[in-house]
Amino acid sequence: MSEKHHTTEDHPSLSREVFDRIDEEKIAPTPLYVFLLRDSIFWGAFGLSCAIGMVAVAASLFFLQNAGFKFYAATHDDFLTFFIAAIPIAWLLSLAVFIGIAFYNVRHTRHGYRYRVWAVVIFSILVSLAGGIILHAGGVSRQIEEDIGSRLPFNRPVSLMQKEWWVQPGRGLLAGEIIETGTSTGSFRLEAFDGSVWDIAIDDLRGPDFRALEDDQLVRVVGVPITVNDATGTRLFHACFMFPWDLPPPPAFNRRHEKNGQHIPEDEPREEKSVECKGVAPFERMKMLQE
Amino acid sequence: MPQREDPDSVLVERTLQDRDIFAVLIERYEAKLERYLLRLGIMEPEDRRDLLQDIFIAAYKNLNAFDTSLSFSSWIYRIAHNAAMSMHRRASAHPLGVSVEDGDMVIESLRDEHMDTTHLAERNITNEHMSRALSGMGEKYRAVLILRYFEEKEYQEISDILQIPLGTVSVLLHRAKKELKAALSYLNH
Repeated sequence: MSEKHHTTEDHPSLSREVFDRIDEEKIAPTPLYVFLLRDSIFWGAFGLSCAIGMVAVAASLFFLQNAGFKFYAATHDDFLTFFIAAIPIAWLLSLAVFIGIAFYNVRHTRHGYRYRVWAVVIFSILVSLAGGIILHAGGVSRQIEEDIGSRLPFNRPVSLMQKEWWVQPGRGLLAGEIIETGTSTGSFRLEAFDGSVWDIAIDDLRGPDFRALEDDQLVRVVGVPITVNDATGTRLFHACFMFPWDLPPPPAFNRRHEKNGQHIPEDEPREEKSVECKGVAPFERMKMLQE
Repeated sequence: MPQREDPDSVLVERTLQDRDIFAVLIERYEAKLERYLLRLGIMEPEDRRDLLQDIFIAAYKNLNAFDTSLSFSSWIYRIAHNAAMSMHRRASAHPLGVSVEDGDMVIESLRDEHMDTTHLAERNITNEHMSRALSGMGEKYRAVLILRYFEEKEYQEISDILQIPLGTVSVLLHRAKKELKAALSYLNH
């Protein structure tokens, strides 16, 4: 500091005191890059929060699309119970939290205080929605939901949830992989997602049911558990309806069918299901799904 | 050599080359900020003196953060406001006082903005009344009223000083005036 500014004659006493403190405490202006870096960190954190919001939206879309709305009557007592179970709460909470974090970061940028709360929140939501829809349309949402969703606290991936809902033989629901067809009893053998093996009686299955097998070996079966053979450990399940596991149903489900060049008649006369199947609740709803 | 009439932004730039020029800025804002601190309820002269030192030291440290899109005045008032609020919070056990020298300006402003102030004008609103009314108000309401009617700041400047959106300034000001009017009416009954 030059001498002229150290003199009390040149400085009012406050500036003298300020300069004395600057000297004593060796204070210097903080470099510009520190402020630029700080601002960049807040903008970067805002961008990251929006990106996580996109991931949450993509996962939520996958979750909702695969929650099995069309089967709610089979898996749950009523729509409300199903709806509560099918809301991707953990993902939606994550979205809300990260929109909050995005808002916090914007407000801490240099001009962040000039933006209204609602403007920042709506902008963050729109960015998250747009990005989430793109990720979902790009087919990434399944991987996000399964890989990240399994590590997300208080979240069960929708695929796991579906498996739990669909392996309830006592409720007439069974799902898994067909491991053998054409057994001695004229049935096929299914290994359920919980590892149990079932012989599936197919007397009540019709054309639309068998189409579930066309593209995938993973199926959902609605029916009635019959017996458990203690000696062989085999369990018998009387199938009334069968649907492909993958949702939404593959396009083959509703078109005229050909497999290996062989035409499969689509509208063969529908035979009535046996009395056994009439007890499967809700029978009419399941029938409608195949029509 | 710094020119006394140089704009603040030029002085800030030049201070970064030669720190002595900062003395001109201190001189320019010392009295204004001291008056503002008094209005914010920093009643003890020693406290104001210490706070002024802290304010100018903070400004000096953060000169590179000075945003040229706003005025230096708004920026230094922001630092002063935050410093005063921090001091109030540290001493939160003590009731906040507000020093008002010219409460008539506020009454005039309320009248200019078509608020019904007849019953206020008829009564003798003293500076003591105004101080008590302001002291009883919420921090944000008090701050916008002081900045608008005592410091005579524009809405944009208040937005920059308090770091709130422009729309919020006008909402706060409207509510603050209503609350002030009610408080003054109560005190005069």
